[in-house]
Amino acid sequence: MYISLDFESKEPIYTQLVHQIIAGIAKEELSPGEALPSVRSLAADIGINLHTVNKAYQQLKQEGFILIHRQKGVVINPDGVPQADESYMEKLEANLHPLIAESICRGVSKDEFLTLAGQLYEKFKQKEGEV
Amino acid sequence: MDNTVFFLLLLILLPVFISTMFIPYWTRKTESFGVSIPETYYYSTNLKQMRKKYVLQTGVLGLFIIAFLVFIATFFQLNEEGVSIYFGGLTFGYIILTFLIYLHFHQKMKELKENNGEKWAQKSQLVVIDTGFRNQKLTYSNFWFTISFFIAIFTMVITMQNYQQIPLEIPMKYNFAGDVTNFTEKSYRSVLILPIMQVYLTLLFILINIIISKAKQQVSVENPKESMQKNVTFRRRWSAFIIITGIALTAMFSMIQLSLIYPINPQLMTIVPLAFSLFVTIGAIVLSFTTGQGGSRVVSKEAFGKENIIDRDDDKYWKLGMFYFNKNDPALFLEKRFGVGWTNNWAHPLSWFIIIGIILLAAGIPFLLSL
Repeated sequence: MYISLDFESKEPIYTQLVHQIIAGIAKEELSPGEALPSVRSLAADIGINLHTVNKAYQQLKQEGFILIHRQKGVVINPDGVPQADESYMEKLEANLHPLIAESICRGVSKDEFLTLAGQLYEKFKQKEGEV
Repeated sequence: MDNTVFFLLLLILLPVFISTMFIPYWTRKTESFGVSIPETYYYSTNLKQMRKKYVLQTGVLGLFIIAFLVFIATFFQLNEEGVSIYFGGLTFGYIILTFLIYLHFHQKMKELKENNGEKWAQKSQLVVIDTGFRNQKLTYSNFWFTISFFIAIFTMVITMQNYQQIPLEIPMKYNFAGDVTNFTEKSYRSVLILPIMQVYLTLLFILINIIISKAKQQVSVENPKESMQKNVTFRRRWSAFIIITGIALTAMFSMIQLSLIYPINPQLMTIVPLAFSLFVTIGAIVLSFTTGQGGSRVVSKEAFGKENIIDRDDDKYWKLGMFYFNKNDPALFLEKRFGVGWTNNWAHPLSWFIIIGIILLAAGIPFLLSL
């Protein structure tokens, strides 16, 4: 899977990394059990501090997306990502809240909002090549 | 200076001149004279002309050096030492002058980039990496070097078994005619200089092969998949070249060592090293020409290079466009900006330890063993 990072973006590099790896899992470009580069080699390839990569990996580990083995290195969680529970739904709701609020302020209709969300959702379900 | 010597010096210099002249064509198309640019601008008339000018200027410089050599060859009777001093001086002068020519173009390129700032830096600067990059086979196995080690051990055993037959004085230096100019006394230590150098050089070649596999992943943003495949080709070809050269070099050293014990045709002793150096330099030029820096010259079917995306613009870390200093980058090795091959991240202390260690060992081994 290709990870593309924007160094000019306001979004911190480690957040970009986290989002892209999660997106990779969602698109099935990264399959369960697949190896990811070690902290050192990923940091060297991108050309950033080890801590930045470490921070991203730690967050992904805590959320159950990856496992960090001492010997086997970093792998995508072979048992799959833990399915949504109550606490995840709460977090999702909390995250959506400000987005919907701002959309309403800016005059985005409910239909527009839902269509956009639907389109994005479909995009993740499409495999590469079936654009 | 007789004609053979002149001819030999020319044979050494020509490949150096040629590889210096064509560097701008062998580097990646996202870099021009040590400045990162959007790939499309590589083809602009302006840059095309700059590259031509660079070839012209370094070419003229090369011609001057050759003319100077011809001048010395015709008017001066130089002894061996005189030739090596002149040759060393000329080579040094050539390196300094080509560097100054490069700096001039680097400066011009920087100005050009500043003037085109808005156009060139419009799009955001991206870095693309492939998470599966290092799961691929990037280099050929270091196990190939066991051949070299076997050759070295074999040479040591033969040397020790035939210690009595080795002459009391061991040649250390040859002149261009193949005569010995410097001897050292025979001892158990001094007869092992060559076999130990074989081991040292093999370890050095292994280090290079490791560098080739570990060097930073540099994928073009415009076409990640293709540029990644090209990069893998680039690494594999140079890895194969390093392995073949390493084994050939140890074999050649063995031949020289065995000539102490067995009579070997002296003609062969001059031809083989010459043929070897020719093979290495011409091989390197052919490889650079067909592969280019990072695989940029590997032939591809797809056309690309339409957008104004700049690969991560890390110009500020490249001092004079040539020396990489980035404290935040844990990478030790990465592709050169201007030229073909790899360089170090000089902000990393380990880089300095490695380079100093290599030099100390190379100078120290013959010195310590011939004491």
